[in-house]
Amino acid sequence: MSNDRWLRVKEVFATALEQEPGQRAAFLDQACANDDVLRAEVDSLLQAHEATGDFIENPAAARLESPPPPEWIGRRIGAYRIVGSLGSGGMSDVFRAVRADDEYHKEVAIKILRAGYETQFLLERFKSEKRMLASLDHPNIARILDGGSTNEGLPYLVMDFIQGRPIDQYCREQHLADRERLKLFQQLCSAVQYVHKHLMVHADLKCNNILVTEDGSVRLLDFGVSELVNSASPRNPQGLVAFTPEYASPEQLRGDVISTASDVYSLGVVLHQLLTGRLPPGHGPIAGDLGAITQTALQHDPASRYASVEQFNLDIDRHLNGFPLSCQPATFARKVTKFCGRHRTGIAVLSAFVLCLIGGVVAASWEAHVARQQRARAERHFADVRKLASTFMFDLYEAIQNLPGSTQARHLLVLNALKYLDGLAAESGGDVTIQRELATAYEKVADVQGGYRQANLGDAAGAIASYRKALDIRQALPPEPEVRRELLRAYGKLGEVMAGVGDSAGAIATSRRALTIAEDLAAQPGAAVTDQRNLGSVYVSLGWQIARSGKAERGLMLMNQGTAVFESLVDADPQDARSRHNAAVAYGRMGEILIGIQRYSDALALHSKQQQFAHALAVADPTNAELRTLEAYALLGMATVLSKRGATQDALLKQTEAANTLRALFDADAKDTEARFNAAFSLSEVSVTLASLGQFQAAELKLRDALAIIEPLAATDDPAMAHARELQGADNRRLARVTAGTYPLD
Amino acid sequence: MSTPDTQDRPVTRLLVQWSGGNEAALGELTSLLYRELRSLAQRHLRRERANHTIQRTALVHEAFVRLINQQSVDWRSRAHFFALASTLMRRILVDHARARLSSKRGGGQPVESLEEIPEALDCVDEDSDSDEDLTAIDAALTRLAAIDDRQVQIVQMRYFGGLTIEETAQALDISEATVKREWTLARAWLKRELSKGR
Repeated sequence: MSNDRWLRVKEVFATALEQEPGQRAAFLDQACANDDVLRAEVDSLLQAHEATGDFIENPAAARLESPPPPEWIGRRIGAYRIVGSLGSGGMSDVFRAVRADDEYHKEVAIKILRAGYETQFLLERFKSEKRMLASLDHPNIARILDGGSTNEGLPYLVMDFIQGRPIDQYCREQHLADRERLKLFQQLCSAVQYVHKHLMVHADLKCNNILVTEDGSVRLLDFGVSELVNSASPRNPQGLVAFTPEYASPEQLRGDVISTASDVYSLGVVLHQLLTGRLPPGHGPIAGDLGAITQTALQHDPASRYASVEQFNLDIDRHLNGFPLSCQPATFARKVTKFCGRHRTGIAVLSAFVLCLIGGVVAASWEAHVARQQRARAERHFADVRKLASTFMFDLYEAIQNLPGSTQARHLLVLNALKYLDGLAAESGGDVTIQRELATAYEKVADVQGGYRQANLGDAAGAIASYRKALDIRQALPPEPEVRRELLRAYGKLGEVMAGVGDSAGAIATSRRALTIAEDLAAQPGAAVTDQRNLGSVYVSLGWQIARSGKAERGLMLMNQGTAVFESLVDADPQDARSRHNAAVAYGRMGEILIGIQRYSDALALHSKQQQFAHALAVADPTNAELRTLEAYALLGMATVLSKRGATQDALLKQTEAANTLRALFDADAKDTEARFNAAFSLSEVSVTLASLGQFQAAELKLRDALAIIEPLAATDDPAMAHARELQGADNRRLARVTAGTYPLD
Repeated sequence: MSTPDTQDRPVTRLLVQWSGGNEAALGELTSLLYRELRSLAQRHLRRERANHTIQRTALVHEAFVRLINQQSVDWRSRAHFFALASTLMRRILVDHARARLSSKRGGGQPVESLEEIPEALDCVDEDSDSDEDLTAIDAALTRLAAIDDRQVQIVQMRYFGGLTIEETAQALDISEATVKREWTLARAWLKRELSKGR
């Protein structure tokens, strides 16, 4: 039969089937007019169609199945009675059941291994699924309730019954916009993130395992093939892996060891499906950010994908909030395109000239050649600079910063980074994306040179210059909110560094500029909580700088405005830990100012407020060292007030408590230089109080402890450790006095 | 993890050859799979508890996945994967049916690689398609291939590969409506072919 002929048969056959039975003959008369052969062919096919029944409807392999599966419906298993079927997986069936001994008849899902499938491997799988689910407790993961074996010895699992639809179906049927689809997907990410945190890989993420309930919340099901990450046992003793090929990563299909990166890939497939309705590659790539995000997740090489689900999720956040993405390959490509775009005029002029000379095909190929060369050069150039500025330098810096004697090398590193950045700045023209990235790189370099509250080179002047470069670039950019936020952040840091070197006037001027931006951002419609919080922080910084310049009352007023912002944020959302934290820090600074102007009862009130806030935060987040440090410093502040008032014993109690905490934190992380300093500092405080109580021997012991702890920090030539050397000097003087029995020590 | 049977077999090379149109490579692949299946079946039987029979489908599946897992097979597309899986399943099931038929008739050459599959696994549900049907369907499919290759692919995926309409549509990257339309016609066409021979 010719191809055209067959196509015609197809068409008539299909259309005939769409007709009402009564209309069919009339349709065929008309469609096959004068073509008896066609009519006979279609008639016989329609006749055969009527007789097909369930001909080849059941998979051929099913014919080999026996015996028939047990009738589960109506049976009782454990405390549950099976009332209906929910579906079948590869090797197991899932049923709906109710609790038989409970008047509420709570509905559950029971998964039973199919009879005839109890190979050693699948039995093991069932056991491991039970174990894994039992250790997971997350709102987006179906819980396991029970498990056991039926009378026939088939293992079963009892799980939450999730009334929902597969995520793709839900999105389709609810006609969700991309944004809402992404929000659902983020719920899924948080579940998978949680699974990974528990050192497991789900290994079978697909739409049918991801249900959305009527109230729009996501539930992840089926940990039947999940793996423990780095599980020591061979993954697959019997050779059976029941993954789903459409969603499986290349390494999973190859049977290689799978990791969290495999789940990242499968999540990429799910995202692609949610956004396009099709599995990748589908028809045509997804445009823009979302295309870049999906592409990054779907990289063939696991190492090129997102390093974690968290990063994947963060990029979706960034996309939803209109920030640039982290996924480098795509953003980089976009930048290069833009870079070449700028040089296009040059290329066009050149090729027009060449065209006049020789014309024709040669010109076209020459143009292509030039364009290729330009692009290649641009790519190489950007790749180098980006690599150096944003990765290499910081990695290397971090790697060497704790090496004794590396200061020179670190200085050199910063110097080189600056040279490259200055070169790039000169070339980068008006490209907003590159400009923003440059500013961020300058800011990072500045942090390393002399950033506030972090390990740095102690090069405050250099830091100030680099922050200024970042600021100059950002000021020239279109004043979009995100750029303004970045501007604000750099002003804030610059102000702190200037205050640190005693440039009080410069610091105050800088912080005032920050204040203008912060007020604007917080006042705009749709301002984020972060914008409010930033405003509070700027009030506190500016107030602190003004207070230290001698205008204590004026400064305290501003700081009060800052704490009022934090307090109202906490009132609005008691879960807002960040604002609580900021408030606690601000109370501490106000307390210090108040001690300086001898308003002791106000100072005590604020330090104890600081202590209460920090304590509550630390209880809620017990592994957070920063919070416990904050609380310890609150105690030290209270102790200062108490000793000024003569309540020396009370002061000693608080200081001892603080010293114990800080010592424990230092013991937990002996490499943390700040923790080392804090431990030594609190011991020194204790020793001063002990001496004032006449306990010179005890004071001497504490001082020797403090000196032993601070020694490694003070011994470096690191400018950032100046405060450690100061403490060492003070403690040595105190030790001399304490051994001489002189009082007071300070 | 791999058995001596398949350890050093160039499965990837065979797959590449097969997808490049070399049918002999598929024959080689299929025989690899049979050997895998046989050794698995024997091992299962030895440790089998008395009252249960391991299902052949489970075994075939297990053997297949085992085979591709042992080798660095780069599955460039899911259509490729399903096409191969379904084609292999067709070969396995049809050859198996043929082997049973020839042993029932007590004549002809049994298919070499199946003669050692233990009897205990050879239980077929008598109500479903017969061995005769299966070999006839196979022959009819070969004739259909001359007219409509895509319909053959769809039948292979649905009937031999056990894929649903939806899965088939996704694997071939066509709409479900198209799969349904083609599937309906292919079934009618095959049904007619089979009744011709009776």
